[in-house]
Amino acid sequence: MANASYFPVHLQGNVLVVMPTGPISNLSGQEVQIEWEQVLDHVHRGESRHVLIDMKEVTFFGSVFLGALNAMWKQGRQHNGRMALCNLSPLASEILHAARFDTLWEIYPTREDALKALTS
Amino acid sequence: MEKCGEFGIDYASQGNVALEKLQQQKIDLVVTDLVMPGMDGLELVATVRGQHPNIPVVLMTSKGTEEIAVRALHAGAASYVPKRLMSQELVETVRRVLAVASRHQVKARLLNCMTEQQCSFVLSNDVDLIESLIAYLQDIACQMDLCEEADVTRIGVALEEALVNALYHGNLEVGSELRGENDEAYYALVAQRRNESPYRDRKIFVRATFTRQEATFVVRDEGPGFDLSKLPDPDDPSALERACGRGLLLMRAFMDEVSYDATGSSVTLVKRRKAEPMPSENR
Repeated sequence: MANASYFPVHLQGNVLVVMPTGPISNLSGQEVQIEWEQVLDHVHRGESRHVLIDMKEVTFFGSVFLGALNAMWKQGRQHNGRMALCNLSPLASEILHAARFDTLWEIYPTREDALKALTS
Repeated sequence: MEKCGEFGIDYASQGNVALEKLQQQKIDLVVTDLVMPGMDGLELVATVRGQHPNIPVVLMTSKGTEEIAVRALHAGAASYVPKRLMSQELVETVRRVLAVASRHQVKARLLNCMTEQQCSFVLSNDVDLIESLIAYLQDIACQMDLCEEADVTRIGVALEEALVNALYHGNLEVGSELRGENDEAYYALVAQRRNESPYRDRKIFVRATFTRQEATFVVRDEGPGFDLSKLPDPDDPSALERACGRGLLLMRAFMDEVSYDATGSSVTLVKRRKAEPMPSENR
């Protein structure tokens, strides 16, 4: 993942921190998908228990990225892990709310808040 | 410039004084040095551009400042005149820049009088064209003063969902069930159908109508359509884990009206203006 350009990741304890670098449009090419699958592999291999998606750099996104996040959430759940999101822009919050995911996923205002919750 | 007698001229000793004068008086154009005490010419260009986008700035450059002049032009300066050529070129440059600015201002006034704009497109299944079309339609929404910046983005998100549906689910008939479950198979099928008849020959038809009150977008594909009633109930918690229907939720959240025709292959999206339209000239 050293050359990750869309989804740079690093491990913080047993939390995989993913910081997507926008824009991640529905029309983004397959290379975005391939990179996302590498992130999913991290979780699948059990290298980290929980996943934190820091959305600081992503202003908005569409249903395709929602689908990708959902796949991540389901994958984590299979390994008894949790997924959380933080630093959502107002529009990103609206998108999650519109798609009803704000009731399903853990959402925190800051990275510190999210890490504290995931590691507590 | 004073000698030619064409222009009323006011002077400012430094950038922040110039900005104060721009606030206080009607100024048509700014001529500035690059190197000044306090705020430099580059910063002045950027600030004027941000605060007074209709006031052009002409730079005076001296030897060795060419690189900064290029940066200033990128930052929005209208033109530049080397100091050594000022006596020959400054007046002519100012005349030319003022003429262009005047044309732009008249054009802006004219566009403010526009009451309706319509455009139609027939697109192949090309993602680049779709991206460009969304940006184009967002620009018109801005031009027609229909909504604030955040709403322009919302229009973009909703249009992207409609066009992606038309392309992948409509024309290429690739279902969203594969997405998130088997992305490799999803993309393989997309690639295969892009080169396979009848999928590759299908088009996306887009018609956009903008008035001062609302924007209406009709997106139609040539696929077999779908049964809207078969989409999962978005309020059913178990439906959240499935991949389909989210695009429609986003369209409905960000547009004021979303409706499909009976076949499900044509969707109409309407975005209405929130506030009363500004009174335009000649109306």
